[in-house]
Amino acid sequence: MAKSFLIDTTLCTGCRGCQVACKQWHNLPADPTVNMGSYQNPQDLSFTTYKLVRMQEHVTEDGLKWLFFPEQCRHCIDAPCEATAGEPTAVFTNPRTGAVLYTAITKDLPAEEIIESCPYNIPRMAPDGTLAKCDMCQDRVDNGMLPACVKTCPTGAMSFGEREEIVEMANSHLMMARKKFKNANLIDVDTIRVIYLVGFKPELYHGFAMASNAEIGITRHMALQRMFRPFKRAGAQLMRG
Amino acid sequence: MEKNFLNAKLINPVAPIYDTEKDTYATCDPRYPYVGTTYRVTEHWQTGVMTRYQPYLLEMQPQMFVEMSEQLAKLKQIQNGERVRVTSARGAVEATAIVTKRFQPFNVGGGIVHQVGLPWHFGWIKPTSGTEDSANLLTPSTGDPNTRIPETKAFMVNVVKLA
Ligand code: SF4
Ligand code: SF4
Repeated sequence: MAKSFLIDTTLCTGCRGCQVACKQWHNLPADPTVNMGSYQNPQDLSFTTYKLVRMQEHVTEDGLKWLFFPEQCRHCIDAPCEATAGEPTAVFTNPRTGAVLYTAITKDLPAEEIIESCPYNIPRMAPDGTLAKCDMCQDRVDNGMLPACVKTCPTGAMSFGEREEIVEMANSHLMMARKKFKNANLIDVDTIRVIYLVGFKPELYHGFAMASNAEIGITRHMALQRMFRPFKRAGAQLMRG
Repeated sequence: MEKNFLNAKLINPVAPIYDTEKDTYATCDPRYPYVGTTYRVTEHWQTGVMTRYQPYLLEMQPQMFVEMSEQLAKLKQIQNGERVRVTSARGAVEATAIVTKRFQPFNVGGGIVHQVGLPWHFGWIKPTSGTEDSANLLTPSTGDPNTRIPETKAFMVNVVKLA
């Protein structure tokens, strides 16, 4: 039953409909911003920004590219943040969807440690210590609707559905993408529920695009080991869907 | 003598030319050595009079900007993200510099010509800083001879770092 996303960045035009849809559905305020010499804004995820289209310009093997990376929580199959929190009333996985969910009780946990344990640098803290991030639009998904970001995407860059279907779709999108981008690849497909397809090296998009690429501290390193050790378990979960 | 590389005439002979004091034209004037152009971004509509009031849209595109090549930025000692002033024979606006490889100098008639680009969505009230204004202050009041659709795609400007 559990779900997954495919985010095919080779189809993303950087329109940021997803970024707005996420805020709109969750009734989150706009963050105060200034232009920092880039179209990307806000500059980072925050307690009130769960989805952010990161933008980078690189001269690649195919010439100058403007690379877009619609970032969000990956809903790890064996989530390091959940293990670090160790408190199911604060951080837990919804077995129906596979969504990793945070509650207001995160306020009572050591926020820095949980943030540090995320290989993708996703959770963000409110001034009172409460943590927040993408919730896979639990309320929508439980009612048979698509996540707001997926529903909004006008180019077909984002898909959502049963894990087996999405993994299959990811592989067929990869075959198509390889015809155009010889280095196209899927990121960390076995361990996370938000599968990114990138046309170029993941680190060109964002330092935390891929777990193993991230500049990691000790806590994050240990969390990573925890995450990659039970490969069998992740595999089994994949089969169960 | 200024030369048009595309046509024997310097400008379209039937283009409307007005003669108020604001209708000043400069082509090969050393005070305005760069080509300016204006365009839109996805986040705002026209003058931004409806979209700048939408917090989510202003969050994504909060300020007037001017895009330029790395070469021009180096020449003018402008760093990415710095505030600059863009001037034409008709007016001036402040903007944040976006230094990008998407802009490249042109080779025109054997000389290097730099181009800068600005959106024209900004104006008063929103954002509330009061520092953002419209690129239409720079553009000439002329247009298509038949429809008068404004010519806002090619005009001459200068760009300098704000002191
Ligand atoms: S991406 Fe980070 S925040 Fe999301 S489930 Fe994985 S460890 Fe937790
Ligand atoms: S799934 Fe929902 S909460 Fe997560 S990024 Fe998309 S819109 Fe935001």
